[in-house]
Amino acid sequence: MMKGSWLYLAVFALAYLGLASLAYGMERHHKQLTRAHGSSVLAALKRLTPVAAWGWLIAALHLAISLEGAGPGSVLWLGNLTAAAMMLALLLTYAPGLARRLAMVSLPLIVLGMLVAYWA
Amino acid sequence: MKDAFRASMAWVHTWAGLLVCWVLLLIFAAGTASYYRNEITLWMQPELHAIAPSQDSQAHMAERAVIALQQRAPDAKQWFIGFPSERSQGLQIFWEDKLPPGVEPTRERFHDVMLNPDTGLPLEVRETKGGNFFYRLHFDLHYLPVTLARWIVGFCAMFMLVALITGVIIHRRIFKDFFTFRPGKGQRSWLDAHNITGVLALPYHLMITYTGLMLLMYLYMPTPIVVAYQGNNQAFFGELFREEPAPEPSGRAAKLTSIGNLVAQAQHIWRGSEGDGSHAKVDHMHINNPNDAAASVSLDKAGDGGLIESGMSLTFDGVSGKLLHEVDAEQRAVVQTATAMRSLHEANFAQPLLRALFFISGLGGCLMIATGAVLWAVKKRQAQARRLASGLPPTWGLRLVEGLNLGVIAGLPIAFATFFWANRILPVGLADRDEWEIHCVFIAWAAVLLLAQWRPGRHMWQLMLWLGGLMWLALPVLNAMLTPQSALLTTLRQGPAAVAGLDITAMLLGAAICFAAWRTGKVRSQLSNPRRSARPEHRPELAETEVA
Repeated sequence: MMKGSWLYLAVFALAYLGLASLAYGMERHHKQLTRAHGSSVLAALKRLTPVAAWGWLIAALHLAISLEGAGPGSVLWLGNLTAAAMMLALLLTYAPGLARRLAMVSLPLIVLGMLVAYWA
Repeated sequence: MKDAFRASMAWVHTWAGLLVCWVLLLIFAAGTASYYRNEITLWMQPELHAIAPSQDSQAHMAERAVIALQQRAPDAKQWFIGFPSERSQGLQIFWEDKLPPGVEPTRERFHDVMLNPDTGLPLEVRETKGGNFFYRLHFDLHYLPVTLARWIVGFCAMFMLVALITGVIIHRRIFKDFFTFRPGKGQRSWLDAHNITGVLALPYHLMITYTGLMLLMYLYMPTPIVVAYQGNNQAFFGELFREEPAPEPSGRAAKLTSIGNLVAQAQHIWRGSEGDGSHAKVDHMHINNPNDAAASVSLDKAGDGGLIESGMSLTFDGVSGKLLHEVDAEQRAVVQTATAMRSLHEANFAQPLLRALFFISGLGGCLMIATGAVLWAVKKRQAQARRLASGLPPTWGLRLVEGLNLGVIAGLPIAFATFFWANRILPVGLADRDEWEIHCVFIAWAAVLLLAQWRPGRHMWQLMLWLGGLMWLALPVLNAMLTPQSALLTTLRQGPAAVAGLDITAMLLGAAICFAAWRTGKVRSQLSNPRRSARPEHRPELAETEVA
């Protein structure tokens, strides 16, 4: 794998986290994401999720552009959005619990990716 | 008013989509495979798998290529040398025969040979078109005159663009249903699947359709060139890309200058212009009128992964070795735009990860087209439920569409898998072997299409999906049995990675198709008696956007 591949993984994780946050703010998917779990810590933040979601997605775009330059970077971002959205849609249908856990794991993964890329 | 507009758009969407969906699926599937054109070619040439990537300088390789060309075609019209890259390890030479005046040019005037870059000796590889088969199939189809084929492809692409835009217009709940997929609910599930594969990869679908039409715009919209350049395309392209027209041969023999020196010189010039010397590789070179007093040599610089290819080239006098003409990176905006569109469409700037994302989006497009076609048939069956219940057969239109759906959607995976099977099974010495690999594809596909028209039904669906799925699943097994050097366990350990990647992708595709076959067997009760949605449809023409 190429050097800095952690950062490419971070782009995907940011895209997934952003889309999962969007889904979290939508009626039908909110039920799917929380049913397996009852009330969640995040429930109070539900109204903030769309704002946060766009924040994650813009962070993903920024990271993709810093990795690849403006042109290929925005293409990379869109590609990651498509792949993450397809994954999320399938998980929401077949394994909503896993969809939620992956969103939880995304954040430390992003931080870890930044750290590894910074120190490596 | 709004509803009337939406209904008319729904009508356009349905018919624009249905009319071209089968050819479109072929185009889309072939295009998706073309992202891995070089990797497919490598997989299909197992004789190359043991060759390690060359570490030698490009100047040395160029010298070896020239020796090989001098032996084979000393009086060709032009030579072409393609250097090894990360995605293709051989040193390629092409040449174009000189034609006597008045002779119609045909494809036969081009020849190509693959050389070992370290020795300059020809590599004995089996005859195959490899990934180029899919690449050509994508816009030239097969067995048809090229111009006709490209008009058909353009027609389908235009209809796809119309279907995409109308699809967005009639999808009322585009944001509400963004991530929604509800399986096991008959028509509703097909609509969900169609929407989700369409919407989630929408940026890709719009980009690929639009840029695809753009790539062939010189064919579809020739008028500007006809008016401004009296139809002289060469003059137009020459001015656009600031190319010097190739000089006519003088007829006087002259010794060719040292090509290796020119390569070294070009790399030196480019290093100076880049400053850091990171990318000063030659991508390919042309030698016009070799061994003639009017010889010229042009070298094109390899790109460095940006959306816009380098566009830098140098032209030298082929006898004196003097620099004649230099094109620097500063292309005009219009050329940059055209190049960016081509790059976007072909993903030739893409790193492995980005290429994989393109591939996934392409598969999404195939699913969007397939689910749309199935959806039409499921809806029609629903509309004819009473007629079917009374024991009458379906209308001829429905029967035709169901047969075509089965023949194309279940048939294409079989046809494409046949290509890879034929590559390993056909004897190496067979005459026109590369053509026979392709004939096998169409023979297999024709058989499935005929079977599908004869008995379009769920048993046939199951049978064909199982067959296609197992063919893909078993491909690595076949590969390991007939070409043990290229077996997955070997390539995973010592490369080439592309060969291992293709084996693994084949297994994943096979598993997915087998899953579809298994599901087809499971939903027996639902297809013959689809569950009605919670509320009946208010207006049949709005069924596209009915509320759950």
